[in-house]
This record gives sequence, C-alpha cells and structure tokens, in this order.
Amino acid sequence: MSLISFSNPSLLYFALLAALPVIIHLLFRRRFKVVRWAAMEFLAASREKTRKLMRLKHLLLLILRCLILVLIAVALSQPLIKTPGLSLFKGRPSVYAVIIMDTSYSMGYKTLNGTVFEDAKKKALEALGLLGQGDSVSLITAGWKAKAVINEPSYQIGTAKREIERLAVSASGNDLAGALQAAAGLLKNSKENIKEVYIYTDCQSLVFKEKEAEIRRNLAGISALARVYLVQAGSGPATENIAVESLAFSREAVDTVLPVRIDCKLSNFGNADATDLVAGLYIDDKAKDSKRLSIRAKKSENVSFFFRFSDSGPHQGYVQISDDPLAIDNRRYFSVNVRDNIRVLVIDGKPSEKPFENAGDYLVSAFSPFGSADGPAKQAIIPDTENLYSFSAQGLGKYDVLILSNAASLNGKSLEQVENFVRKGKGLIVFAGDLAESRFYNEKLFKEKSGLLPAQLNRIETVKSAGDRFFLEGISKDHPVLAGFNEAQIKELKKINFTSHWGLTADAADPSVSVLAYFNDGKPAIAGKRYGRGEVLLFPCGADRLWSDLPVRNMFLPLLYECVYYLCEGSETKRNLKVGDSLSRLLSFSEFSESPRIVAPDKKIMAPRTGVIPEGKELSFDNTGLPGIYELVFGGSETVSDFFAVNPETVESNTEKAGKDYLAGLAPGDKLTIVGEDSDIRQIVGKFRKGIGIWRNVLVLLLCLMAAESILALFYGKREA
Amino acid sequence: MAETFKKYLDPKTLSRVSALELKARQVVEGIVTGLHKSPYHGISVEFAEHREYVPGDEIKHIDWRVYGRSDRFFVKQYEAETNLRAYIILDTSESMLYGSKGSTKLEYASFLASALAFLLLQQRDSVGFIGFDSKINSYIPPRNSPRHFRLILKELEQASSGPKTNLEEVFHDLAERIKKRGLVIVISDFFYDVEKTLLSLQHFRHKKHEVVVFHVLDRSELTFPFDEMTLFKGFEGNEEILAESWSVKKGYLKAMENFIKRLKTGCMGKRVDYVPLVTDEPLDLKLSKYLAARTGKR
Repeated sequence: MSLISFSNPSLLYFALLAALPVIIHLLFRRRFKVVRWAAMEFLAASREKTRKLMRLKHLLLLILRCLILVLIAVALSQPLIKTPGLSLFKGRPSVYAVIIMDTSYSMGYKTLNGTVFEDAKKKALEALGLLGQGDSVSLITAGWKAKAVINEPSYQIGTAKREIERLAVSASGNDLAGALQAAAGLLKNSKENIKEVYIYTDCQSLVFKEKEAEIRRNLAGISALARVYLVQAGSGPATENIAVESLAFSREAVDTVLPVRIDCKLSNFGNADATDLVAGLYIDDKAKDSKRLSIRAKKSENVSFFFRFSDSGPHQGYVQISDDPLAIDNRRYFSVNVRDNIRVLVIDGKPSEKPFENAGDYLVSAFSPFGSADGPAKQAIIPDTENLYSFSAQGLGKYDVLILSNAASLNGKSLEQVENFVRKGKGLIVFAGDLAESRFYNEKLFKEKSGLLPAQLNRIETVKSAGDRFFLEGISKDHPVLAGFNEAQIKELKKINFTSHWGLTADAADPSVSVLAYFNDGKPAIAGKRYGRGEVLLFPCGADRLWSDLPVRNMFLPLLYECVYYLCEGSETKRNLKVGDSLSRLLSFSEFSESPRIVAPDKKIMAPRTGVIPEGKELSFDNTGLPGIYELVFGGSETVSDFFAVNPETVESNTEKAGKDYLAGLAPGDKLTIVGEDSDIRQIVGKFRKGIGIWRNVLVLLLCLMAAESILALFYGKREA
Repeated sequence: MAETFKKYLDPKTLSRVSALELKARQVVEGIVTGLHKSPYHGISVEFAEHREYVPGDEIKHIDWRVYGRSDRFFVKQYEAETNLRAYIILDTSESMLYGSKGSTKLEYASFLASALAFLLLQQRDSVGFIGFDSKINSYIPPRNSPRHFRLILKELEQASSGPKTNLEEVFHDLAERIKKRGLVIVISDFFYDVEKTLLSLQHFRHKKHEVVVFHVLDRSELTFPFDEMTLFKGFEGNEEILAESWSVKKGYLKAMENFIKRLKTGCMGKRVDYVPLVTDEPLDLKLSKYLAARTGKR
C-alpha cells in the first residue's frame, strides 16, 4: 500500500507533461543548421572529447526538467504522507472516530428507502468501513439523554458495527448538545493522530435552533480537537407529518357523574394541507368517538371529545389520527383515575340553627345544587358537614377536600391530622371569617411560612363608609383554578362585593405560594400554597354574607367547583408522563404487602422500586423509554391496579430540516463538514484523512529544482558557447 | 584573359607590393642576375670578404696586400647577384573552398599567388607554379618572361579542387623534382597532419630551398561563431558532424590553437617563414608587412 496519497489524484495526469522536455529535446535535435565546414578534423576531435560529458549534462538537465513537471503535478494533487507511528497496513495515521447517532423519534420517519434512522445506520457502518487495524471508535447516542454506548475507544471495529446495528430509534427527543459534550470529553483523552467525529442526524431545524447556543459552544469545542462530519441522514425533504401534539382533560378529577372534555391539539408540520383527517378516541382499547377534520399546512387544529366514564377506577386510552410517515406521534396516550364522586368535608366554625345563617349551608348547597331529589349517587361532589367543636379529624381519609369555614382554631391533634391530610395530597380550603383567631392562624397554621397557610393574617380591613366596597382585581388567569373562566365570568367575579376581609401578607418570592387574585386595596384575595403533595387555598373572608355577597353570587358555585377540582389534582397520582420521566405513586395500605410489577407497552414485565417517604410508601419506576401505557399489577393478580401513559416530546414532530449553510455556520473555521444526503463519505473523509499534507515541501523541492535547472542550463548552455 | 587579370591582379595590392623588393634571405643559385646574391664566390666583381687560405684554393685569389701586412695568406671572396628561382605551390584541395564571408580561402590564396608571381617577375626572377590537392595537378616550370605570368594566371583560373589534401606526398615529390636551390612558397590551410607537413617541409629545407609558408585561414575557422545545433558537412569526403556548437566550441578552438601553434613553431624550428593570413584581412597590408619584415631581416 502506498505511503503517499493525494487529495486531488486526478491532477496527477498532469505528470504526463513530463514527457514534454523529452519531446522538445527530440524535436530540437531535428532542427539544426547545416554548415559546410573545412576544419572537420578539429571539430571531430573536440566533439569526441565532449560527447560523453555533454550527454551526461543533457541527461541531467532532461531529468531535472521532467522532474520539475512531475513535481508541479504532484504539488497540485496535494500529496499527503503518513507520519511516524501510523500503521503500515493503512498507509495513514491511526484514526479515533467518535460516532454520534441521533436516536430521537424523528429519525423513525419513513422514506421510500426505509426509515431515516436505517439510512443513518447504513451511513455510520460505511464510515466504520473506512477504519482499519489500529483505529479506534466510540459510540454515543443522542437520545433523550446522551449516552455513551462505547465509552472507551474500542479497537474492535466489528463490535462497534454490531452495536450500531443493534441501535433503535427512541421515543424521546434529541440531546445532541449533550452528545457533543460527551464526545469532547472522549476526544480530549485520545492521543491518536487523526480524530474524527461523525454526527448522524436528520438535522431537524427546530432541535438545532432550540439548543443552538449550546450546540455551537460544544461544536466549537470538539472542532478544535477533531474534524467533524455532520452527516444528513435520510433522503428528500421528509417534512410531511401530522401529530397529536397535546392531549388534556378539562379537569383532572374525573368522575362518573359529569362528562369530561378531552382536548387535543393536532398539528400539520408538512407543506401540504391535510384533508379528511380522522381523529379517533379510544378508551380501554375500544373506539369511543371520532372526528373528521382538515388541517392546513403548517397549522394546528383543536379537537375536543366529550366522554363520560361509566365505571370508576383506572382507565387508559389514546387519541389516534391517520397514519403518516412518522408514526410515533400519530397517537397520544392518556391514563385517568375515574372516581364515583368527590367527597368534601365542611368544618363549620360558626354553626347556626337557622338555615343560611352560617357559611356551611351555603357551601353544602353549592355542592348539591339540585337538592337531594337526584340522590347522592348522581352528585359529582358529595359534601359532609361537621361542627368545629365536635370535629375529631377521625375518618378524614375518605375525603378529598376539607373546608375550614370560619374556624376560630383547631386543637393540636386535629391540626396535626389536617396537616397529614394535606401532605398526602388532599386539598384544604380555608375561609377565614370574622371568628378566625389571627394568632392561631399565624402561629399554628402559617408558622412563619412553614405551615399550611400561604399568607399571614394581619388585621381585618373594613370599608370606610357604607357605600364603599372591596372587589377583586388582578385576577390571575394563569392559575388553573381561574384559567377556565372566560372574560364574562371574570367580570362577574369582579362584581362580588366585599365590605371586610383579612389583610393578608403573602411571600410572592416563595415558589410554593401563589396569589390567584387581589382586592382593589392591593391585599391578596385568594392565595394558594403547595404543602406536601396537597394544596391549600385561603380566602380572607367567610363563606357567609357577613363580609361579602360571595355566597349569593352566581360565580360562587363555579369558583367553588374549580377550587375543589383543582385541589383534587393533588390527591391524584401523576399518571400522564413524558418519555424518560419517572413515575411514582403512593401505595395504599392494602397494597403494602403485595409485590408490584410494571408491564411496559412492549409487554415486558419489570419491577418498580418501592420506598418509604413521609407521606407513606411510594412506588417509583424510571424505565419509561417507550411511549404507551404502563400497567401496574400487584402480586399474582391479573387485574391492573393502575395505568400510566407515557408520550414523546412533540418537538421532534416538526421534521423540517435545517439548511446546509446554517449547519455549516454552527462551528468556527473549516473543521465542520456537512455531508449531504447523497454525498460519498469515502471521498470526503479520504480527502481529509489521508495523512499530513506535504505539498509545501514539494513546492520547496520544486523551487530548488527549478533553480538548479536554471543554473545548470546557464552553466552548460550559452556560457560554454 | 582580361578578366583573369582583373580577377587575380588586384591593382591596389600590386601597387603596394611593387614598391618593395622581394629578396630572398638566402642567396640562391641563378642564371639571371637579379637582386639576389649568388652563393658562388669568386666569380663576381663584388668583393665579399677575406678568408684564410687553405690548400686547394687558387693562388690567383690570394690577397697579397693582406699577406704583406699580416704575413699570413688570405684569399679574396666575391659575391655575384643572381636571379631567383621561385616556386609558388598552391593548395587547391576542397578544404580551400571554404569561405564564410564572400571569398573562399582558395580565392584569397590565388590572389596571393598571382601577386607574388607578379612581383617576382618584376624583379626579373623566375617564377614557377604548382597546383596540388592529393597530387600535383598543374606544374609550370620557372621562367622570367612576361608571357610566363599570363600562363600562371591562366593556370590559377583553371585550378580545380580535388577532394583530399596530401601535402606529404606532394611536397616530397616536389622536393625531389626541384634540382636547383630556390624559393619555395607554399600557400595552404595546411589541414593535414601537422607533423607530416613539417617533415615534408623539412625535405625542401634539406634541398637548401628557402621556404615561405602562407597559412590561409577563414575568420570563422579561428572564432567558430556558431551557437546552435549545427550539422557540419565536410568538404573533403562525406564526413558529417551534428553537434551543439556551444558544446564543441571550446575544444575546437583549443585544437585549432594547438594546430597553429605547432605549425608555427615547427616552421620556425626549420627556419621556414610562417605567415598567417586570414581571409578577411587586407592582403596588401599583410603582404607588405611580411615583405618589410623580410627585408629587415637581411
């Protein structure tokens, strides 16, 4: 194998010009002057003497001239030579190649020639084919979290090939920035002469732009250490894709009483309009509803399904659209725990014999607007009332939300149980009315920001004259409780009249504290706080008519329902996750002794971890790499105790590719080479890898030879004459 | 015939040369009394010198006055002025046909021969002419009549060149043929083996002839003014040499220089007058110079 190779071997044909001096010499010999001459004897003698020397000189000049032309051709061809330490078998220095494979789900895009990822693997194997004995390789996947499949440089190229063949597209997004960082670490430790990084990706524009700064920084880092080849996988534009981008329930606490709205956002990322698209709702593997719609190119449409669950308990389902080249985002899964109803306990701190003299009546009637004619089974929220003074806090576990209405204080045991109740994920609504003892509230419930309450009670604020009123303003629609209200409902909220309220001081800097609305005097009107797994909402007034007309306002009922539904979320296990998220769930007492197992979407059975936390015993599971439904099963039972839905990040659904110029500009200098979809990696890599350029040395030699030729020609030629 | 005169008798040359006397350095035997001194003492009216008497001398030649003064016998010796018998030997070989600028060496040599013949005849000397290449092509015995000059001119005009020079053979032949001592004038480029040439000239000297060599060369033969690839075609034979002129120039000039030097020193060693002539030099000037130098020697 040759030790010298050429970047532009085709230019070596110019070396044929080396024949030129020979031809010129021969032609020159045929062109002569004829002279009649008398003194032939002396001429013959002279020629005899000089013939051999001249022949030698001519030969030397001829060789020099031919060599000059050959060297010009060689210099133009950019010769490369191996350096010491390189393998003689390859005729070039040893190479350390870091292969980065984008395994994000967009790589699963189907083209006419298979998926983009299959093309990437094929191209990566081609690059590995360019490695030989003495070369080493590392393999990194740029999935939801960059992972070094082959960390230490491996000289087993065959093993690396098998690892690449084994790779599969993940359901996650892209962590190219992380993969580049990992590659930089590997490159820094490598002592090889030639370092190369191959990035096989579909070059999704959105992914690059989302983490552009980080990618730029990392690319600059590795391009200082190695030559980087960014290989565009797949062929063609590959942008036609429609995805179920999001799926959400109108409320988290779903019951069997009221239908729930399932909102889906469908996006068309392609360049062509999508018509007659069918979106189907499937629950517990049965088709329940479908919608037909059209989505214009690069636009999104919202689709809503209304569905009432007939059975309580865990349910799973998905919304699916028609098939397209990128299948993974055509279906979006969900899991929901359907209750029969929501149980609310109202602790009335100001009980009264007369109806609607106390807040408790208003609250109970709000939760039972149709009276008792339909029976409790038909109610979504079933309230119970208890007198503060007879409240023992026993049996709190069956309730989802506790309402402290105008309670002056709680005894120590009750307080502890209420704290535990909220910590475990249940909800607490506090109506601090005229009977509330600020000292108790501040010392026992607020506890210098560590207690249940989100704010401190200062003093009762009262309007200065009879005509004055306090009203709500600064209503935060960002908070889930108020997010569902339209403008008319917000206006209605502002019409509520307050004559007095507790002046609250909330710490806005505390991330667990939120203020949902303010009074017109700037004091918080509704404040919330996350406590343990649950949440607390504080109203600085009673739910009776003493300080406001709130209980008789038409917005009282929706506001109360939204608060209850919102607080119920805390008690719900987080069942809808993204790929890679960890799932966790508190185990009920009956589940303590059973051994749990998780059945993944590919039907693999895996064991989750269990552990004790302050709220109880918790089950957790991390291996959520596949999108789909994960089933939780206990013991030898076949009954599924719970479902978890795992969906991919939708950023990968927009498969629009970044431009070549944009990609080329991501790294400084010329160390980043964008290898197009149809480019020949062999040719491109060979151009840079062959060895160390010696064209400058060749040029120096060429100049020396030209100088020598000139001197010799002058010396041998005319001067002699 | 008139053209022949015009061709070889350049009036300018002759006018310059006729002002001088062509005198042989050595006294030659002659019938016609001329300006040349006779080697035969005693028969002339002009006293030459005394010499001591040796037995055999005629008694009548004893100078008794000297005997009276010195008491020793001396005889008187006399010189008699004789006419010169000159032979002009012209090389007509093909190498003499070379001429780089207008006239050839042969033409130049012919001018020289005719001029010398004219002058000698003017001095009432006898002039003979021999033309040769590889052999003697023409031979005109020495005479001193004016008609004889015309004969020589005619022979010069008709002189044809032969392919090869053979100085050695021709000179030995001539040395044997010419019985009486005289002046031998050789005009040639002497492109022949220089040692053999000198040996043959020695033959003339051996026969007591005075020998004058006019070495005629072309300027190009001395300077070799070529600087490109040249095919040199020889005059004598079919010899051809293809050579880069610049590469052989140095060697050629050295060989030529050695040749001239050897011929010149060889001639001097044999008391042969060597007169180099280049065809682009004015003949009259060169000839006058030579004759003036020759006269000075006497």
